[in-house]
Parts: sequence; C-alpha cells; structure tokens
Amino acid sequence: MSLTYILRRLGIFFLILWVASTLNFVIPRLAPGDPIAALIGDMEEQGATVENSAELINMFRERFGLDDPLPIQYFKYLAALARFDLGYSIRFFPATVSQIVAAALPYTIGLLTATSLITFVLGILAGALLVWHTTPQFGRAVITFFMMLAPIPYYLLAIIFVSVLAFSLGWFPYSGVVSVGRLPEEGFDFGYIVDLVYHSLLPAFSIIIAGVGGWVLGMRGMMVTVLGEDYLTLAEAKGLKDRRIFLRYAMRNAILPQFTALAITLGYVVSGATIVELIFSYPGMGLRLFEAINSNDFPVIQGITFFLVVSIAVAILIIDLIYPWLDPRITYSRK
Amino acid sequence: MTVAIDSAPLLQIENLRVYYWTQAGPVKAVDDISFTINPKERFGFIGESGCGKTTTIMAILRLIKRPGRIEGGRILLKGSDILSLNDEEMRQSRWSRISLIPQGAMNSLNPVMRVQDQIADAIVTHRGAVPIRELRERIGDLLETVQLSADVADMYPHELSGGMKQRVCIAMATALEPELIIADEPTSALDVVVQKAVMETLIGVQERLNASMILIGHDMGMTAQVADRVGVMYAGKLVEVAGTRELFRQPQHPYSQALISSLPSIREKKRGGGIPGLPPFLLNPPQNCLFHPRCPHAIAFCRETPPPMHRLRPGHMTACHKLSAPEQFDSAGGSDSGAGAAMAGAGTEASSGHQTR
Repeated sequence: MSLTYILRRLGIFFLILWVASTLNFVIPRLAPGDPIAALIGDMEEQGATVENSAELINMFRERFGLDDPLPIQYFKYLAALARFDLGYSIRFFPATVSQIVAAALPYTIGLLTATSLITFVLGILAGALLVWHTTPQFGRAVITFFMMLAPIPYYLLAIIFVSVLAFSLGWFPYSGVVSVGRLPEEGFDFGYIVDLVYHSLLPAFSIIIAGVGGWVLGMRGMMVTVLGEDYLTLAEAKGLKDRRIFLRYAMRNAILPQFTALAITLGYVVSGATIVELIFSYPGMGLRLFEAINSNDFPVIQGITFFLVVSIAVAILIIDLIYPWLDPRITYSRK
Repeated sequence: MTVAIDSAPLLQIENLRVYYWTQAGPVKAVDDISFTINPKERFGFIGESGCGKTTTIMAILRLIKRPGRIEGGRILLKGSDILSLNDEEMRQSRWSRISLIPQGAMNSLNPVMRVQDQIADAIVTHRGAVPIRELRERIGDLLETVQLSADVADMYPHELSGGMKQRVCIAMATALEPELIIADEPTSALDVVVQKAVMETLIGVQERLNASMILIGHDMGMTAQVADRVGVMYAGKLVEVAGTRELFRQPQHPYSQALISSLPSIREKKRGGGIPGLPPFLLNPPQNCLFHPRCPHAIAFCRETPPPMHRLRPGHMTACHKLSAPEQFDSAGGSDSGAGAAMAGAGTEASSGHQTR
C-alpha cells in the first residue's frame, strides 16, 4: 500500500467529516420549534412565572449565538468544532456538551462494543457451522432457532426481559448501571465491576440475542458460496484436516465481507442503543440523544451526531487501511 | 513407452458404482466399471461431458459429495481396498498416495493464501512440522521442477497467470511424491501454446517420480499423444479400453468409432462427423446397451441383453454385442435401428471409421 493512497484516504476522511458536520449544522435548524421558547414554555408549565419572558428568550438566544446570521453561526460552529468545543447544552446549562458526552460515552462504549463483538463472533461461527458438514443436527436446530429470533426487534426482547426476568422474577436489576448509591472505591474495586457487569447483562442479552441471527444469515450465505469453490475441493483432496479446511479455507474467505459490516457496526456504537437504554434507564449516549431530541437541545444533538460521524468515519478508515492485509487481492494502486 | 502387462497393477477398480440420489431417483453416474492401472502408466479417459469421468476419479479420492454415493465395488490401491479405510486413514492417503490436479486450476488455489503456504499446508499435514528454512527450500525446488521461479512461492494466486497457476497445482500435486496422480483436464483452461508446455511439464514430473497417472481430457488429440492406454466412457459405463495406438487406429466399439471419427483430420478432407442423437438422460437411461438408440448396428438383442465386457485380445476390452456375440447379428441380418442410416458406412474397421464425403 502506497503512501499516496494513505494520504488520499485521509483526505477523504476529512472531507467526510466536513460534509457531515455541515449537514449536522443545517438539519436541526430546519426543524420546527425554538429551543429557548420550548425551555421557557417548560418552565411556565411547571408553574414558574417567567417575568419578561420575551427578554429572557432574547438573552438566551444571544448567549447561545442563535441571533447571529446563519453564516456567522456556521463559521463559529466549525471553528469551535475544530477545538472539540461543542458548546453548552441548552437543557442542562451550564453543563457542556463535552461533559455530557464524556459522562455517557464509557457506558455506551462498554456495553455496545462488548455486545457487538460477542454478537459478531457468535453469529459468524454459528453461520459457518450451520452449513459445515460435521455439525450435528441438534446444533443446526439451535442455530436455526436463533436465526428465527433475528427479525424480532431487540427492544421487544428488552421489554420481555425487563418484565419477566427483572420485575416478575427479580433475578436482575431493571435499571441503572450500578446499584443505587454504589460508588467505586479507591484503587481496583472488583465488586464495583461485578455490579456494573450484572447491571448490563439484560440489556446486553437483548442486543446479542436479537443481533446474532443477522450475522448468521450473512455468514451462511457467504459460506455456501465458498463451499462451492474449487479450492475447497482441492483442500480436501490435499488430505488436510477438517478443522484446518474449515478455518483456513472456508471461514477465512467467507468472513471477508463481514468485516466491512463489523466496522460499520462498531462505528455506530457511540450512538448507543437508544431504545434499550431507555427501557433499562441505562445512562448511555442513546438515552442522552433521546432527551436532547425531545428538548430541541441543538448542541447536544449536534455533539452526539458529530461523535457518531467521527467514529463511523474512523471505523471505515481503519477497515479500508487494513483490508489489503485481510484480502490480498485488494490493492489500492491507481492504474 | 511400453508397459509390462504382467507387473502387478497399482490400481484396480472392480465393479465401481457411484449413484447420485436425486429426488426423481438414482442417477447412475458410474455404473459397474472395472479397469486397472499399472505402475508408471498413463491412463487416459475420454468421453462426452457428463459420461462419468470426473465422478470416477472423485470416487478414487473418495470425495463424492451428497447426494452422490459410492454404491459398490472395490478400489484397490496396491491390493488394499481404499473403500474400507476409515475417514482418518483415507485423509492420510489423500495426497501422500493419490494426488489431484484439479479441473479448473484457475479457481483451485485459495485466493487469500500465498502459494508457499498452500504447498506447505500439504507437506506439513502429512509429514509433520518442517523447519521453515527447509520448507522454503523444498518448495523452491518443487517450483523449479515445474519451470517456475522460486519467487512464485511468495505470491498470491491472483498475481499469477493461468499457466503459472496450473504449474503451481502440478508442483503441489507432486510435493509428497504420490504413487498416483490424477489430472482432471489439466490443460483445458489454457491456450494451445501453454497447453503443450504444461503437459510436457506434467509428464516430466510424473516420469521422474515413477508415478502412475490418470488423465482426463476433452482434448482427444492430447490424450492420444500422452496416454499409454485409454478408456472410453459412455453414460457411466466403460465401453472400451485399449492401448492408445490401437484404440485410435482401430476403435472397436461403435461409440469409440463415432467419437474418434469426429476428430478433425489434417490428411483427410471431411466434415466433422458428429454422433446422431444425444447422450442418454441418466435418470431414465435406455435398457441394457446404453448406446443402442444411437448405434448404427443395434439390433433387438442390444435392447434385451446387457453387453458384457469382452476381451478381444490381451489389453483390449470392449462391451459390444457385435464383438462378443457376432452370431446374433448374423441371424438378425443387419441393422434395425433408425440411427443406422445416419451412420451408414461407419464399419467396424478403422479404415472405414474415417468417413470421407
């Protein structure tokens, strides 16, 4: 792979970021509703009498730079973005967007990176085994059962889990990331980590169980194609051991397209799993995004979307850069 | 090259049957065929597409996939039946005793593995771990025997031309010095110039290893030049086996005659003589002699009785009533088959087998 390719690819990366952040600026401003008016309206609804509400609105608008002409707002926005300064949350002022994101991101990344990777590995293996000749009938039946779960939305599973396993049976906590009031102790607190994992089990299961089927389907399709290839017959004629043929000749080739899908999935991780987080009151990015959208909190919406764009672009950049290593047929030289 | 007929055969196939079990019933892709291959011998198979050549060799490697199944017979390699081996024993026999140069070498190499790793795979699996230095040296030597540079070891299949890939397959097939090399149309995907060079390479390594070889080819000219003996297959049956020279000069079975007379000839100006009709639909094949609906000599007897494999003279076998039971034809007084008219003149003697128009 040439240096020119890497530079060109990085150029595309920054172009994507610019286009995405521009759209990110424009789209919320096209939406109906005025965030400040909504905020004041909320306050009035809660019984607070807001004196001089018109003045207050103007003051806030000035404070958030919403009274500048759009081009000025745009350039201020880009300049701030370059410094990763995403401004203040309107809803939770004076918290900055960066603070909100920083608080939510670890939970989301922890939950979703783990579940995405587990789902991927399980789905790929199950999909490959489903069409491999030594897989027993029972194994095939189990895998087929999980494939049947694929079309069930993960939030539906989440609701079932909460109502049965958490509320009715009481086996699992139904909200939060740790037990109420639990704080990490100084140094390495193993109990805290156990508590953390325990709280994330149900959301994790609902995401994994609903997600595995999709990977199984994709992998099975590719495996069927690869199993028909001449090089598989030759590998068998070579007297290679079954396991080696399975891993090195069949799976190795069938997995290639799945890596692209995995990269995109991992890129989406930072947006959180909104509905699952909502159901389990799991304070990740999805829940924050949901709240922000409900309250027209432009800066937070933009901040989270910007993080999402960056992380997807980074994931795809990485997969593009390592793909020649995964599949030597792909070279990025220009003719 | 002459082959001592009395030496113990390397491979004996006895009454081999391979059926594909389709929903509509069994397709008898290989039906009761017997032949032997002697040490160092090159045995060629000819016949139309779908006549069972590839199924036969896949049965020898025991690589018949469902819905296909080996229904019966024996495959004796140096006297012991490989059909009685368990799966693990069979796996160990593959490549170390019988190797394959596959049909379509273009797609027979794993696209994401370097040539070196693919050859090493075969060596390490059967011979155990070898120090990497030694392995590289060995693979370099192997590539040289097929006129490739040792650098090819570090390349991926997509970086090689068709002829180079075919050579890699030949190098790989000879890596463990097997007793039998099966070449399934080793040159059919190559252009004519490369075909000749690849074939010469293949014969070179086969002779160096003193291995026997089964050669399948649509190109009968190539088979005629290369093989010591040739078997003619038709609709899952072996209809004639003879020394190459004898078969091509004096084919005895009406199908062999028609097949060989369809070859273009430089000496004679003739129109390509086709064989009227189509190969039979194997789900519902003709009874007894499978060739009778297309045979110019067929009589009622051919439809009623299966033709046995008949030994015309040492080393020349054929399955045709006209040769094994000529008296039936005397009483029948000639052909009663409609196909006969189209084939009129194609006699049993080779000289009349080439029909001039």
